[in-house]
Amino acid sequence: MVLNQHNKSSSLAKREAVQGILCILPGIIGLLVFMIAPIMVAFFLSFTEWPILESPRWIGIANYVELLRDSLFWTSLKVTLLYTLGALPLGIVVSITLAILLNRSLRGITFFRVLYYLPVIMSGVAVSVLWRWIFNPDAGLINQILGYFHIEGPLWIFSEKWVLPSFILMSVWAMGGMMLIYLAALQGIPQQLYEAAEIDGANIWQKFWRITLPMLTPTIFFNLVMGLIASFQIFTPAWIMTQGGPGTASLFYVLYLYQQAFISLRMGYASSLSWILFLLVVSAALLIFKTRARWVYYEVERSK
Amino acid sequence: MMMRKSVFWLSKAKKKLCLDVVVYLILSLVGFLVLLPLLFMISTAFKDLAQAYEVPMRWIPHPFRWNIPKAMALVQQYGSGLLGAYWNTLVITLSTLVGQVFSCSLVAFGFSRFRFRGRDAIFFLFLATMIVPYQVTMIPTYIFFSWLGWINTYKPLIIPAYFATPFYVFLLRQFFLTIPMELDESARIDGAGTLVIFSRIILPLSKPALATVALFSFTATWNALLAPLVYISDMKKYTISLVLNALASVGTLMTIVPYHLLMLLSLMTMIPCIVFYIIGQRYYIRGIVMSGLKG
Repeated sequence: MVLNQHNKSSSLAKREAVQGILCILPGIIGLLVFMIAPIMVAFFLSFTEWPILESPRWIGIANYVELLRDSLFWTSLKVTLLYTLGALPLGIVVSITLAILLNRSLRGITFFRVLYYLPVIMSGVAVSVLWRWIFNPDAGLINQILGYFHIEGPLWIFSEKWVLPSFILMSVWAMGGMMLIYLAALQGIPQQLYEAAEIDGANIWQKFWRITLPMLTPTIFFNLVMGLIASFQIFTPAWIMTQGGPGTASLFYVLYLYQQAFISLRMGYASSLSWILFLLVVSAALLIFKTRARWVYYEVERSK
Repeated sequence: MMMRKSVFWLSKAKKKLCLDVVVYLILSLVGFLVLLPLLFMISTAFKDLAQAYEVPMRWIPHPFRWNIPKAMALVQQYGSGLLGAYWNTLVITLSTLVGQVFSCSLVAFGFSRFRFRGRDAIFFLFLATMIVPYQVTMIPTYIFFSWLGWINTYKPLIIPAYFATPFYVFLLRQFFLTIPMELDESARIDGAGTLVIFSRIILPLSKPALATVALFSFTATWNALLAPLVYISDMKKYTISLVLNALASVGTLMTIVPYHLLMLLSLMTMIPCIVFYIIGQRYYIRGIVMSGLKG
């Protein structure tokens, strides 16, 4: 992969290095200015009190002390985690199931793939407004359909009990992306494994548990990490549909962060919230990475 | 024995057919469920207020209302109106798209075709930052832009796009790695410099990957809410996300929300993305697949 393989002259190698670094320079600058510096600044800011209109005041660890005593902080963590625990496993199960169904040589399968992926590209405010209408207890789609069966639908996003399931339902609708990844992974599983199993007399269930699932674990692992990170960033649906309500039943973590930073104008406290977020996400990702040796099978993947 | 074989074959083929039919049915049902919200949106968009709230609902609006003038009137109070908001969003989206495509391809080019000390370590660090949520860097970045005097302009939304986004760099690098180095080498023998190789050889060969990045970038920026919400307060500069947001929050105070107009506006907002998706869905899907299979 090196341009000057045969000529190990150091000046050529140096020129190549310089050119390479010049090419990636925008990325390096971006990394420093928009990632590393802000993270460090956020760290320092978290030890200050800064109501924007005045200058920041150093207050040591007072923000973190307050944070630990802040019931809203714990609530927002709980909401985010509950959502993740609901949405992630469900998402994985649904996506894998659909991917297995789609993994056939059927005509028109592409049509379904395209269709299922459609919700993924519709993000943002428009979709959230749509779902707010769908969840409308009087005339929204879901309760209208339930009405056909003479079932009285719940208050959905206006009910403390049903608000998180509403968000989870919304995320299942947008499962298409995950499903496509699993589909591609399934297609990468060599047929010989299944044929060998059939010769040994394996049934469908065994084929799934002993071959398919283990072969999918790298992909599941990847989706777990990405899904975890994504759920810690849920903002737009919460902002548009519920603003954290009813009460604080859908106070997602970054919604609370935004409120503290730009509504209560407490930049110092919000910085401590963002630093905690950073630590949480990094720990979660590290945890999953460290444990992956236990349950990710790489034999076949390596040959790719 | 021949008879037994043929009977065995028949039942196996029948089995597959039955299974195929069942799978088709399930897939169609799921597909219908996926489409249902969109159909609901389209149906509501062309009703009047009373009919929108009718229970049980009518799927086909009767009478059919061409609500676009009413929707535009509703938006008129927000500075530039509907067309102005679309224009604003388009400006931001295209500027960002250009920046991301060029900066990410240049950076991916550097990571894939040059060797230098620490290259792989830097690349890994670069990728690792993908796990950092936007909200972690949001506040200091806001303060930085505030110090530059760029608040309430589009600059904080567009400028960072010119400094490479890890996910797109990753996608493009994966693609560049599949282009044989011999092409570079023979070009160099012919006297071509690095920039020429980049622009005349690598980029033209990478159209599918570039299309993928362009599509993702367009969709992400077009639909973005948080960044515009943080930086733009002047109503004349509102993007459609901000307009919809303003309407939606006013809506919570109103007793009867004009969902028919909101649905029409949402539909109009989604249409460019849907159109681009249908035209370029090959690229979208390939991009997702490439990212997921890195393993």
